[in-house]
Amino acid sequence: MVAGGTHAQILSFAGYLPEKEILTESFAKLGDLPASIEFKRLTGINAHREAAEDEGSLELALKAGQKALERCGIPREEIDLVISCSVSQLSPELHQHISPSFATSIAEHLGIYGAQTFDVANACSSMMTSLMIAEAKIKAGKIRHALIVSGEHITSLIDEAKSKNLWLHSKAIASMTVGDGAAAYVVGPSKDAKRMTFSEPFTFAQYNNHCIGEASRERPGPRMRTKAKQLQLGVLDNLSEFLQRSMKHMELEWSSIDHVYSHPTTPKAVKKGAKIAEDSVGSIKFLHNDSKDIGNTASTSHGVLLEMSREAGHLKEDDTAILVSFGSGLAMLALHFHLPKGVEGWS
Amino acid sequence: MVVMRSWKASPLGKGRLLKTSVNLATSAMEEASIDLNDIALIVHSGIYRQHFRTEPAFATHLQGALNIKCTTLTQESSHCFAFDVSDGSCSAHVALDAIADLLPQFNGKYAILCVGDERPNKQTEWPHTPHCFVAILALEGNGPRLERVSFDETKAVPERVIASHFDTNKKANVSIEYGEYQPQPVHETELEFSGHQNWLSGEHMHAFHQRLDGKTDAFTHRIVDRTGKTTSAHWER
Repeated sequence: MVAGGTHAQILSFAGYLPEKEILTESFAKLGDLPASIEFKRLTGINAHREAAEDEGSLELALKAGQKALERCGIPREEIDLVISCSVSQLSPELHQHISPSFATSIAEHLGIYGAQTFDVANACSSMMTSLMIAEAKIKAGKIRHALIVSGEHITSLIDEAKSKNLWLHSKAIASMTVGDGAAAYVVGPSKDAKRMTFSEPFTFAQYNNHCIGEASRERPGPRMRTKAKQLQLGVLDNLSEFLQRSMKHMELEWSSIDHVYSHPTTPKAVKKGAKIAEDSVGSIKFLHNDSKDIGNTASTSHGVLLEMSREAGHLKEDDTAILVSFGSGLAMLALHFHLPKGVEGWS
Repeated sequence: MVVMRSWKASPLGKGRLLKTSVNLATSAMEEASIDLNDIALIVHSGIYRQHFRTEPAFATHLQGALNIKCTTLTQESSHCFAFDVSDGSCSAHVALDAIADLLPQFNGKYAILCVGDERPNKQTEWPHTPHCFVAILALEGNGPRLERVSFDETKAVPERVIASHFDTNKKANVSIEYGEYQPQPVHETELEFSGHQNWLSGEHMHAFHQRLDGKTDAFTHRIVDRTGKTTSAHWER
């Protein structure tokens, strides 16, 4: 038990993308998909990254985790909690990790000993859910610092989808929007209650069968079946009310938020959501809709996009950002935070 | 910390986890006279799911099956949040602790804790006796009070891993346990209970709460998982 009565803040974040780029045209050119679907035009995704042969979810997570720890400078012995929120948990050979928590392996590889470790599963909202749990534990005085980390090795979903007759298995088509990536955040105490605030979190379980990920029954690795249009409608139908309620709950003015990041199911979907947001809560200062060359990297998506923004020189310390998260289930929640000290100088 | 207002447990038998969870949750809420609309949080813990499912969270299926606040958002509507946590057999204590941390921040009064696993598919050889445990937790009221959950990972051997892979002969994913060890047996005194190291978390919770009935003093439930990780939930009446 550490001193309670404190608040929380994000001390560092990191995103990692594998080097290998796969163009959408190489696996979903016009004529590859049923009903003349122009996949690239429909989604706005030009490419994604694919993990190297020796990279699985663990190896990806370690790269982001290591970088996040270096950036905040917190010694390993002061990390009291490690949460892994990877949906995939796949080795390079596509073996799925089950027990103990994936976070146990990550902590061991990063040299974090004695910390509590566990996994959170909430689809693409797992990262935001984990950050919310870490924030609550810091506020309760149970921990000093937490590492929240995820590596998503999910591009085998594309191979699985391509192995099917997509005329008969149209729900597999959404699997072709994904990309591999990793992200991590270090969360620590703050005296300022406004450094990190969450929206009310919602699960609209009426959509809980619209995206199912599980082991393939025919080949190594996972498969995903998605009612993409209906799921997107579920998000869009609730988005306006969600943003209005969130601003009220977090005591924020939308116009004061410097950077907006939405979970990037596709760049086209984010554009649709942004239109609803602008009609509902006002114009967006800076929408970071930058997933056209990386695809949807699941739980890591916001961290990866933050890293890209940082590399492009768009982020300054104490700027504010909101991360809006959607995950199958359907989970919706948002995190508003101040960018960490020294973010401009990170390498 | 939280109070356990009511709880129900059952072996899974040949039934599915979702159906059993729904029945137990319904029964637990009826017993405590709790309305579905007062549930703000659902957390499931376990490691084995049907066909090694990874998304969405099992808790969202429980929410949907119980039809808890499955409505479109308005400025006044009341809603619920659902997710899963896991850490081997210690998953149940991780979930309890997460509920204790989060429930004070939620507008609703109650949380559902659901603990349980199910055989992923018929091709997986599975030596476990699956149990399902469901509890209704609140910030106040009558019932055993969770004082704290403590964690000890200093004796953990992370190489004792369970993973699944595609078996080309069986044409299905199957799970495999790696790493040898001598499982600790059941340990029980007047003040604490620790189940068998090979149990899944549902069986741990089922066995513990059978012993909790009738207790009038502080009581500790310890879970040691197959890696040697230990969690202890300290309860008071």
